[in-house]
Amino acid sequence: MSKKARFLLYGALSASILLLAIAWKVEALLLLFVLALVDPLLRMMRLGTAGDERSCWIEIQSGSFSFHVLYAVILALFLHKLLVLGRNPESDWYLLLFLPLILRAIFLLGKKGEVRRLGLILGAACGGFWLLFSLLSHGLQRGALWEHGIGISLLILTAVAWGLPLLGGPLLILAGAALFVQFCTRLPAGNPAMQVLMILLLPLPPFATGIAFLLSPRGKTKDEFADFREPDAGDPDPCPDPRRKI
Amino acid sequence: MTNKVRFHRFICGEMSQSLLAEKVGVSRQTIAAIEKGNYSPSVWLAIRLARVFHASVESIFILEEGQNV
Repeated sequence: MSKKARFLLYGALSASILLLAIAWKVEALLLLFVLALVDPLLRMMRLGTAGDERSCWIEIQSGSFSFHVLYAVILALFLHKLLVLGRNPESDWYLLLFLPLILRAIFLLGKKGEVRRLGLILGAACGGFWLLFSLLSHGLQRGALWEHGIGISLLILTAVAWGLPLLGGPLLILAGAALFVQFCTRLPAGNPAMQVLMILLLPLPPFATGIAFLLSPRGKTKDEFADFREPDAGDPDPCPDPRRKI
Repeated sequence: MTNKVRFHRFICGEMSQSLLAEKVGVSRQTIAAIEKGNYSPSVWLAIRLARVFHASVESIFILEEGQNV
């Protein structure tokens, strides 16, 4: 995106917010903070200005630093509310705590190309947490056995998907869809944070696990140099230093 | 990692940081940071610099034995 287009975009957004503040209420001016997200979003969509690589590196570092500071602040406020004030924080707080961690884990593992490992971690974590939560909440009451069954099923499906991704992957996606229908379609309106949190914690993990297993590469990658290898080439140093004296 | 960007700029008729930056497509500050050793350039930029100086990458950027990046 050219500098002129970027300038126009910022101008149009600022003018819209200003008009909104005039027409509606002055607090709408706080929406100006949204402008801080424009550049990162443009970069994510590969529409940012072709800045030089050191600037990009600095921006990435500042983003990482800001993330950790922000997370520490959220955690401190959460713990203060829970432990010092003795109040159970609202669902918004749990969303603030979980969403960054989940996104970060997915992004890191996905970028590292370890999609299968991501599937295993997600599946085991979601099945394990579900089982632990239901056991701690209901113990071994007969009426709650179906709830334990969900956690156990998720763990089994993850194990199946680890060995047979084409079978386990779709089953996990179906499990995610079933959990969505069961738990998320009848949530009370008026609490969007709760709705997002429920979707994030219940149907999304098995759904994402299934997708991760389906996307994971199967079989061994083709050895491009297989034809050039000698069968008994057992040189312990494949790239010997030419300057080394023999 | 040490580098000889300043030396090569001198060899090229005391080429300015701004001109070098323009030739390789980065900012002058990036060239200054590389010269001071505060920033390690990408392979792409290292090759671009080498082409401008008509030198090899290894003659500009020197990684000493046992040195971590």
